[in-house]
Amino acid sequence: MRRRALVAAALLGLAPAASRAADRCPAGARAPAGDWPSAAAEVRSARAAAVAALDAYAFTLDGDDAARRGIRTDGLVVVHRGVVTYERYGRGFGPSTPHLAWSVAKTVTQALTGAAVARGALSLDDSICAHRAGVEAARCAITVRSLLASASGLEWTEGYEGLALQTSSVLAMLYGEGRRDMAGFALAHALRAPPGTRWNYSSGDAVLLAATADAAMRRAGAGPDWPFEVLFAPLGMTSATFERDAAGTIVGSSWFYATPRDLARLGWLLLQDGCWQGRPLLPAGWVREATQVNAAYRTPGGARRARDGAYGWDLWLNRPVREVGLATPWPGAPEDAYAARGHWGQNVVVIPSQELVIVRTADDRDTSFDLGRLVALAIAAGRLP
Amino acid sequence: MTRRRRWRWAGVALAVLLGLVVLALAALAIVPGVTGRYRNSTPALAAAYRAKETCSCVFVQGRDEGYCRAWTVASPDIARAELDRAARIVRARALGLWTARARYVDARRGCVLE
Repeated sequence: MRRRALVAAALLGLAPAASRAADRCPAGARAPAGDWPSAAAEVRSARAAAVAALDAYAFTLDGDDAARRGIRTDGLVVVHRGVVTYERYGRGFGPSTPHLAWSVAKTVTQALTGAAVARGALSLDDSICAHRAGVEAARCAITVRSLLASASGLEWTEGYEGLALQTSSVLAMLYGEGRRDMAGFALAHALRAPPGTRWNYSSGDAVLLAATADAAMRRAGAGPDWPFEVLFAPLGMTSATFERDAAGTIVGSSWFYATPRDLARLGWLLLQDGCWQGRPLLPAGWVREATQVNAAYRTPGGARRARDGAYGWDLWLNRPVREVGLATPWPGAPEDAYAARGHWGQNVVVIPSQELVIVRTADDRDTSFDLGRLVALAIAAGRLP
Repeated sequence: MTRRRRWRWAGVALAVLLGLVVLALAALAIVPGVTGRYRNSTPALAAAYRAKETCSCVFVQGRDEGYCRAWTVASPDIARAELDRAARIVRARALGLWTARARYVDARRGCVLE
């Protein structure tokens, strides 16, 4: 017991690769110690026309609320060079109201996995069987890397609306027969392709990733609240809630809640190459690899939608991918833009070339929202004068 | 009534009966999802969705019941939620028979669907 506690202290307390951290994570880089500093009022008067255009696009309701039509923004926060430059809420939300992030949770799970890798609890090429007992042999070819790429090869039908309820794997996992043990449910699906070869956007893969990282950290001696210790607390995400299923598995695909200001911290962590206040929270090279189009995505197959984006590691990228006939997904946004994206209009957009992070929480029940247009308007409105 | 006419009526009755059987089967397919890939039925999903999302909306997000009721309306709208603020439990029921329960744990873990 005592030895276990010591291991836990070492895991949670030691900054990984401390000697090289200084070059990668400059101490002077901007990351807030407490709340984000805000210059929103100054920017609003300095860039009045651009701010008005952003207001009009994001916050003009189309019809009455019950009709659920059009662009229904709940919160919009822009951070430029570590300072909040635009902030507005709608529909009863405010700066301290957590919002359901839906699949933005997948990117949180990706970052948690990175934090676990940085602590040596697991490796990218680990089989899930290194961290989970009782898995059928063929499925042991599923690795941490293939889960990050959403390429486990397991059968899965993502989708909420617009298909028969009984064919949606994600509804069955969250609310149906899979809800009590979501990782077991995901893993019980047929293996349709060799792991790592076929991209298929899957909440099952994200839950399996969360379960694998959790098992690895727990085996290394961490307590069940390790996500808070290794990531949310260092980032100052005090509003974070990550829900679990009845078996105790983190619902790493869907049920993460935080305020837009706290979601901006996730974006800012990625923009800063996994560093926070001079300290590396993610391994060296992690963000670079996470923001490349993954190899499985380049192989045709899987259900792709043109406007979603290309896929890295649980991140959507604004890159055209000729091999699969994907044009630039968000016209109007810079090509280096990437985003954590969730159902009904949740977005955490990172634009390294602009040193800009945009967070939008929403309740879009139709597809009229145009991410490229929002990004273009937010860049015009959200730069420090 | 001629013999031929009697046969015609028997045919109509048979057709009506067959139609009813087809309709009943179709209703069964919609309700318990016997034709789908997963065993879960539409009312079971509806109750679970309403219980879990109402629980998180009220206890994690801190929104009021009116907002949460509107936000959790799903299609088909067949489930109703009942909130126990003191126990931090939400019970939902769909079409009278299908039930689900979600329980708030704490600020870090939010709600759990039981």
